Amino acid sequence: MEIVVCVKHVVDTTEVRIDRKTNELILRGIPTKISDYDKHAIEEAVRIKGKLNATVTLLSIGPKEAVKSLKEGLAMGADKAVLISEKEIENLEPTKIAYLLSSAIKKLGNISLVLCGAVSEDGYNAQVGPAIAEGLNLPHIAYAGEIKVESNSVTVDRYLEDRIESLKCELPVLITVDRRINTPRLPTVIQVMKVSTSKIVSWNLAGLGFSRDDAVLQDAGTRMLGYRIASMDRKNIVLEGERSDSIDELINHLDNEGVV
Amino acid sequence: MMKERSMLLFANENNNMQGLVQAGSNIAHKSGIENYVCVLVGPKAKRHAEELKDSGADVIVAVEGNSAFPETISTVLQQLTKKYQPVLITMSSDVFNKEVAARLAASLDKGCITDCIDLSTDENANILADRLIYGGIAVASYVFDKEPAICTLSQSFVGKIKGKTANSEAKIIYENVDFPNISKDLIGSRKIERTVDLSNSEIVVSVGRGLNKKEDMAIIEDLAKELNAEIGCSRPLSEDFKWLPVERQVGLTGETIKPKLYFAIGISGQIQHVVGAKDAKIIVAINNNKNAPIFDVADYGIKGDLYEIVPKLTETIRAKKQS
Repeated sequence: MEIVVCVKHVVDTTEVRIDRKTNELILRGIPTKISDYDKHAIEEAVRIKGKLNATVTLLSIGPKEAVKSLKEGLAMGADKAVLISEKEIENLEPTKIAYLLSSAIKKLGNISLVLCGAVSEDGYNAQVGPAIAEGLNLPHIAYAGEIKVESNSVTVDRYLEDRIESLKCELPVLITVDRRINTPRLPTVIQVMKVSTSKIVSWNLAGLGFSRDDAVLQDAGTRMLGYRIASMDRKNIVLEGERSDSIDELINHLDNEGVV
Repeated sequence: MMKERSMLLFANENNNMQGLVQAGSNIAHKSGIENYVCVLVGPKAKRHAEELKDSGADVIVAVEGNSAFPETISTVLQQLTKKYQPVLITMSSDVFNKEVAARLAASLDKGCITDCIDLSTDENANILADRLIYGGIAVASYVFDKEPAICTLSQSFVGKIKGKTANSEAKIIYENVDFPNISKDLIGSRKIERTVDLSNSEIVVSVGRGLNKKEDMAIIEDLAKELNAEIGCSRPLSEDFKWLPVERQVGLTGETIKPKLYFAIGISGQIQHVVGAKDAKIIVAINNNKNAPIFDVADYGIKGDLYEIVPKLTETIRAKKQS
């Protein structure tokens, strides 16, 4: 069985800060990492591989540094990885990224199962998984919390806001996973270092049958015009905990606010 | 002659249908839409159409059939798009609808923005959408360069919009569409039993990574009990440590709450968490790191060890209640 896991190399959004002088986001020099949700997808693929005779291929569109995330995924037990790294496509909108990923999956051929994180840590668009399925003309199951794979089908519990749905679906299918599905194994630094880069192949747009100025890629549906810092104006009254009266003072404030 | 600007709004049964359809009329008005088409799909579509005809839509399209899968709804909307040529297709933001929107955008090769917190138009009548980025630290504005624009609307945005009073009853149209064959079976569905409802709690006491071990939850529970509050938490406690169920998680990937009073105890204040409590009337932070970003978004803060401050706070409140 051939399994593909789509992996996104993201900036660690918990490290994004605001430059208070310019009121702009500080996006340079932020640590990057594998998107958490995708780590769960890799873990699930590796577990399925442990039960069935499967090959796990990681697929990523991203900067050259995405090699770091792919090596981590390979150290977790994936067999090989494909990285599509071209400046022109890094900032494409989710629909276009999904289109490219579905083209790459078609090129890999004979895929039974595609796994993705339900969302990415940086964008939270929740679009790419289902959009890839559309491109592949496959059904999809999103927000999976449990997956049971048999030779020709899957049974999946998926989590919506108010209910859990159990679905059975013939292969091939695309599944996006929730973080509750498993606890990803943590490869050691040495294990990651030992991963041979020969397991990671680079593909380019030409190899997927696109030119860089391909109309399909140029013709974006949305364009970001700019951003503003979300306002969070608060009173910012801070008391020293070491002072014995700070708790009384806090309670007086809360009393005056009418909230206790 | 400029073509009539139409909007399709898909209303699924899980939502506050009436509120959504009414909000749609306001969005339509703001976006210069002349023909607001509300789409209902499902076994009860005709009945819902009758119930919703005074909610502000110009047309209600009722499609009877199995609405269990996002793939189905996306295919239905695709077919209706051919017929109605909308400039905007919208629906509320939930797990299911984001799947619908993603598939629809891919099949039509259009742009899609999920979790919109505002919609408007520019001087050329292009649709503009705002959404939170990087975990909620900033709001980005997007313009749609292709039509139809596809958006899902965040629940808080829909909740804020006041519906316009309907001038006339909607025209109800029963459409027959080709339902796709999908090789999926829904073999079961069970409700998630919720033991807490943070979104309607007046006071929420949340705890984060500052807590050293699960057993120490007792001091948080004591405070919550004294305040008659519900307990919440930040993502590491529920998703990583699994000390508390996910239903208590406040933030981008958890609950969005609006209590009168919110305590963030031992929570550093990453934006992903804060965004879930930003509508609280008063935010109190307790943290031993004087540089923790939570103090920037709190009304009142106490710098210090939560293990000393929280029990003292509980004791003081208890004493005050008895006096």
